[in-house]
Amino acid sequence: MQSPRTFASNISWAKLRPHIVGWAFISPWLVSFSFLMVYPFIASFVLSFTRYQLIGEAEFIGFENIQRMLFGDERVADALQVTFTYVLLTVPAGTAISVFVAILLNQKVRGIPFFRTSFYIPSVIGGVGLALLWTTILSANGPVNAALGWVGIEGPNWLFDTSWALPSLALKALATAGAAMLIILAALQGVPQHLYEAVDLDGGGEWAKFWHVTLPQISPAIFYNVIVTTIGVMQSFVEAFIMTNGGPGTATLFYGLYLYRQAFEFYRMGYASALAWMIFLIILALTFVNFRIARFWVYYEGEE
Amino acid sequence: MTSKTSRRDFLKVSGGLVAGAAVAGCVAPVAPTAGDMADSGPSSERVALRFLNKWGSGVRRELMNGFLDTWAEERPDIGIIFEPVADFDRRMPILVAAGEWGDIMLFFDLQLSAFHEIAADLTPYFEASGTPFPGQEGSELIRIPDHVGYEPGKVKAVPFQLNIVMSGINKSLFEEAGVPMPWEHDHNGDKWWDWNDYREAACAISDLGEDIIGSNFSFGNIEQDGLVNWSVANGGQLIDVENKKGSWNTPEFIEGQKFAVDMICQDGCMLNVDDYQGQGQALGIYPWAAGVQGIASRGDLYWVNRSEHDLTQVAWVRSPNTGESAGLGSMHFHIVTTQSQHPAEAFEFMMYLANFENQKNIGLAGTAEPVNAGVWQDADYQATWGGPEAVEARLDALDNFIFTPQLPGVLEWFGEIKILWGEVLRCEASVEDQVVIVDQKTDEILGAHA
Amino acid sequence: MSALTASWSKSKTTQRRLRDVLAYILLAVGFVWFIFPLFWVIMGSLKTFEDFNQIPLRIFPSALYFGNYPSAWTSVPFGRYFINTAIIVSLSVVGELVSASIVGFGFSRLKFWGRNFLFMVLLSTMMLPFWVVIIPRFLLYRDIGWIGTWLPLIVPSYFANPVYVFLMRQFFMTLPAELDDAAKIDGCNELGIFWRILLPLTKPVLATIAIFSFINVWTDFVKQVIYLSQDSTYTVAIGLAFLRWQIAQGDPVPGLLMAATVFTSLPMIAIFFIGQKYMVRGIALTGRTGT
Repeated sequence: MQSPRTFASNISWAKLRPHIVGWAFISPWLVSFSFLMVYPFIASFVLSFTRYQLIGEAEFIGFENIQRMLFGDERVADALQVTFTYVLLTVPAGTAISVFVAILLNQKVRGIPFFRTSFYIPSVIGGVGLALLWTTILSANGPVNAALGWVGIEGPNWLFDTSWALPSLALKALATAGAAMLIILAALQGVPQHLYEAVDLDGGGEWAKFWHVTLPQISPAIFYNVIVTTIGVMQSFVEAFIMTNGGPGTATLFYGLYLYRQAFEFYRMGYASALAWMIFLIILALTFVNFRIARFWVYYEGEE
Repeated sequence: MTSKTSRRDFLKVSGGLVAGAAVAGCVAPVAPTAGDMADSGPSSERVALRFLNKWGSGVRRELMNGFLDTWAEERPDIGIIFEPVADFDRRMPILVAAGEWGDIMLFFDLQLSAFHEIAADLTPYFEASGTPFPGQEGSELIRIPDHVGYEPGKVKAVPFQLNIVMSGINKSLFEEAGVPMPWEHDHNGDKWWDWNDYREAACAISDLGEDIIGSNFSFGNIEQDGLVNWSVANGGQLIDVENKKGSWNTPEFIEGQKFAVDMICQDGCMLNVDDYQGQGQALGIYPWAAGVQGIASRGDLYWVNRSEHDLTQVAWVRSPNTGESAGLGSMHFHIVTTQSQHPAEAFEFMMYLANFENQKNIGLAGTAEPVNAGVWQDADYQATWGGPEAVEARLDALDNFIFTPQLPGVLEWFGEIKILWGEVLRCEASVEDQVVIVDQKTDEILGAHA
Repeated sequence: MSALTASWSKSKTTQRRLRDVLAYILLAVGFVWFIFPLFWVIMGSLKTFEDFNQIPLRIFPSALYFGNYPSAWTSVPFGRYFINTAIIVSLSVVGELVSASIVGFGFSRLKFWGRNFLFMVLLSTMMLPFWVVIIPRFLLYRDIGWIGTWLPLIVPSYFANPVYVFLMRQFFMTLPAELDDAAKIDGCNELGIFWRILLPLTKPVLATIAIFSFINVWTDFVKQVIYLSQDSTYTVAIGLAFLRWQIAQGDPVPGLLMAATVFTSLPMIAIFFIGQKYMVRGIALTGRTGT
């Protein structure tokens, strides 16, 4: 008869081993998850209830930050308005452009790889370089205004005009629709041929193919893309930081820029944390709404 | 925080030990010859000071390199590691937050009020070297704001550069418009050009043509060349520092503002803030077609040197009511951080940068006004000003310039004011309404940082 | 009957040709839309200062002027910034590859308690906004003395970026389970299976991750600007931003700025051309272009 102890250890080791090995393999992620995700996530929540100006100690002030953020600080409303407008200016148009361009690139004509590459290149440059590039394009004596001049329009001073600054940034964003385009293109290429053949048999034309086959088939990719770009655009920062510094006035005061200023220029770490949590909750809500709306337009295989 | 042991700290510590040993071992250090330096590789023996300053590009970088080279020759025992901080206004706060303080840091007055806690008290070093405080009897440095001491009888910073408001005029445009030069003007019996004269000149020049700008004022730097000067010269004040309250809703302040704002919104003789910045950035230069203009954030010669136009300067114009000329001054200071292991050496270097010779070079290069009082009296420097009238006007400006208020929170206040007053300068809000809002905002921000 | 067929097929060909022409026109419009900015900047980098102020605006430089390039290169110490960026990028890429493949293997080929739940958690962290964690991370790094060093930029990449883990996992899932079983029979443990059997098969996806992380780290301005503090540690992106701020202060250097934009973009464009195939595949697989 085996001693209970050996019995237990035998069983548990054999049983435990795969779990231990599994956890060991994912441990690098567990470390970053704990220290760079969970901890900061909770810490910024706690910081939201403090006044902490970096030099000195954090001081608990209850709901003061939250109250100020919601009712006392008009810049928060400005920043939210700018950010939401920017989302509305870039996400729908950007999605439409990327779908359109992807369909274009899915045509069976020669030279497609060349076009695909050139459409994608601006997205690769990214960051500061692209922001600088567009600063020169949109300058008062730049090529955009020169082109408008040819057709008799006196172009605005894009980045320095309260009503044009944000659309200028949106224009820049739309010129980098390349990434989304590739995602949609991949989805397009995954649409089964037999579905198109079925439309042919029914006597449907190109439009019917697009409307009844292509669009439903790529709708999950479009949806995914809308989610990811919305989240990304809500956090925009570099464009405003480099191109406009939030101005003129508050015309391009992105939420991210305002948060950055509060945290790293004015040292209101507590207040900035409250702002950070608010944008988190807003993005969460927006994603939730997006998923709700998706029921009406996103088609998944096997649904009727 | 204690776990931080970088190579730099190691260098600092070992450098400190070596320097300590050198001081103990040497009674009278002999200045080494050039040959000595080449042989001995001075890096192993000297104190190394991290020096954070914004003069990292263009003319300023060249000047700074000159100062550093001379220093390296004269004082091989005190090495300077120069770290240029581009985008200084936004980077310095990050550096402070990160604890990356260096030994010597540059701040401008608004920042200094937020960061004076990291500045070491320099009083003992002034006393030990027998140097009077800046601006006091016998000091070669010009006056500094009272607040820089933060405690009565103490000084925590040494001035490095000054920018005070000057008006530049474009002589060719003046001639074209038939407007007399400010110093030839009759000024209704006054000796000085005043706001009315300014306005007349600007509007006459505006009438020359579509593309010609009568006047431009940058609002980008409210503290020195912004329109607020018109109010300050008229007896208004930026912030009521004593009571920590907004102070824009006064007849003096409003009158000064209206004079300036009307030039934009009624007469169309002045560029509004967005067009000013837009044109400047579009061309990479600021619009030199203007007839009169407040010189932007650097010293005037900087711009004059760069312009193809025939530019000269006439100091600040006077309030018609008070006859005062009171531009705001923006001062940059060096501090020794409380982290520094070598405050005495750092102090020496800061004083070196403010000495007559270096400050004269700064003045002559036209990249800032000197903080050394002697330079202002120097004939070479005065010769660059363009005539005896300008000399008188500028010395007057030096006597009368006003420091920007220094309170915790003024940085944020400054950002907010730019936004709020921008609405007035775009002719979207009235001066009378907006001063009330500005004052509320001022109280709120100063309260939050109290 | 045959005539009918002929005309029908002819109209089909005409229709097809029309379609192609339309496609080319639209492609050309797209080409201008996406490529013109780049073209403009290259032309601008070859212009003299005078060229910029001419009316009407010139598209091509009056003469090829290469002087902007050396001035841009020395206007800020781009040589050092390039080396710094290369070090940060290469160390980060190694980290991303190692950690993502290990963790991705764990999530795909091993069975353990909480695996599916944890993977859902991992997926959801991909959606977490950057801003909500940035302040405590900054304070954390400050307290351990990492601010001003490259550590905050490099070290996290050794602890598995969720996007790349997801990418690795998706790829591992496509490999047949028999591989593992055969290896087990040969006496391999999990590490052996991972290292000897599966990892060699994942080269394409490793290439994808390498390219993604290269581009992402190279252009990650926000982190660099927050965490770096000394000139000796600065990166190319920061150098570019410096040039921009110089312009904002009125230094007349449009051509110089454009030259800098061109040569700082070259590494990215080169990488893209080299690894285009892998990149496109990665995008198709994850539906993302990076973190």
